[in-house]
Amino acid sequence: MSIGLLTKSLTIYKPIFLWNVLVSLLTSVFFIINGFKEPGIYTFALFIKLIGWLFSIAIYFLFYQPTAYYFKNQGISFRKIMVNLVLYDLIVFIGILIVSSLCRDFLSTVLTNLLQTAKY
Amino acid sequence: MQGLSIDSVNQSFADREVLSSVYLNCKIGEVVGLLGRNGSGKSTLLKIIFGSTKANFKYLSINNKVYDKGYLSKNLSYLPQDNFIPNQITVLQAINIFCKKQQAELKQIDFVANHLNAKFYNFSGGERRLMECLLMIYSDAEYVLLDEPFSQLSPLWIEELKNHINRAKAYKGFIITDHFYKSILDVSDRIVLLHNRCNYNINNEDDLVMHGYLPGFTA
Repeated sequence: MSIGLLTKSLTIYKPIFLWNVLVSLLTSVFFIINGFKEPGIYTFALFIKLIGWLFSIAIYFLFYQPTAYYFKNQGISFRKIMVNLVLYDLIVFIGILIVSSLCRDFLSTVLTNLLQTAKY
Repeated sequence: MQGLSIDSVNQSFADREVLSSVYLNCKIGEVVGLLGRNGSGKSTLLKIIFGSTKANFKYLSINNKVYDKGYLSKNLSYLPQDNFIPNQITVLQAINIFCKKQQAELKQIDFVANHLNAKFYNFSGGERRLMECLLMIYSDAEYVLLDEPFSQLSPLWIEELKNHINRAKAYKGFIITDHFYKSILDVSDRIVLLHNRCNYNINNEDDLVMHGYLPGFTA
């Protein structure tokens, strides 16, 4: 895990990283609604994150393929960038989950109010 | 042997064999010109050296170290045919990334000095090509692969680029391929022709005619 590599890749792949943060936020909503004690929710979260990472690879191949040489000329392979991004995304995800568990009561009230406002 | 050398390159796409037992080497202080007809495998060979295309078989060594992918040596720069520097990067950022050692020389060039804070999307196709070429020529790597560096450039800039290659070759090795064969002949110390899946050493323009690269050969 390298912070230098993360900052380098963020200058180009910011949308991919933001996409993964969005997936993490959406996954944390499920934790806030269903609680942290059900074992099934962890498998579900892992599944959602896995799909998110697969979409990240798809986004890269659809929109960022020409940037491959920019990094290869610095001696950095695509695999190295993705592994680094995923590891930092995991840290962000765990951070979001910790904040969600600490503020679960507040967040669940806000979420319920938001959902009810949207309904009516 | 100090230098870049690739040996026994075999590459085929589907049933079509493009390269067969091809050998190429380059030392510091040398410019190797790579010529060949369309589809003869020039770009493929450069991509195989750099490591972005996997060959059926090859043996690549850079400064006595064997590598599977050339770019992993961090001592090899490659200018692809298409633009590769992202739009949102400024010239100064690109210089700081690729040319830490020779940035003073690069910043002396008028075109570079006048556009240090410009982003790459502000350039025209030719300007962008020139900037990317200069960045690779003055990059920190000892060996530079240039795939069609003269395309999209006006004659004036082609001459300027040739001067920069000649200046930088004192401490670098270049492998250059382009269809502007006269420019390649001018700038190169040695010419290699890819023809019939193999490589041939070329001594003069007559050899190019004899091997069917230039028109005029009658049996």
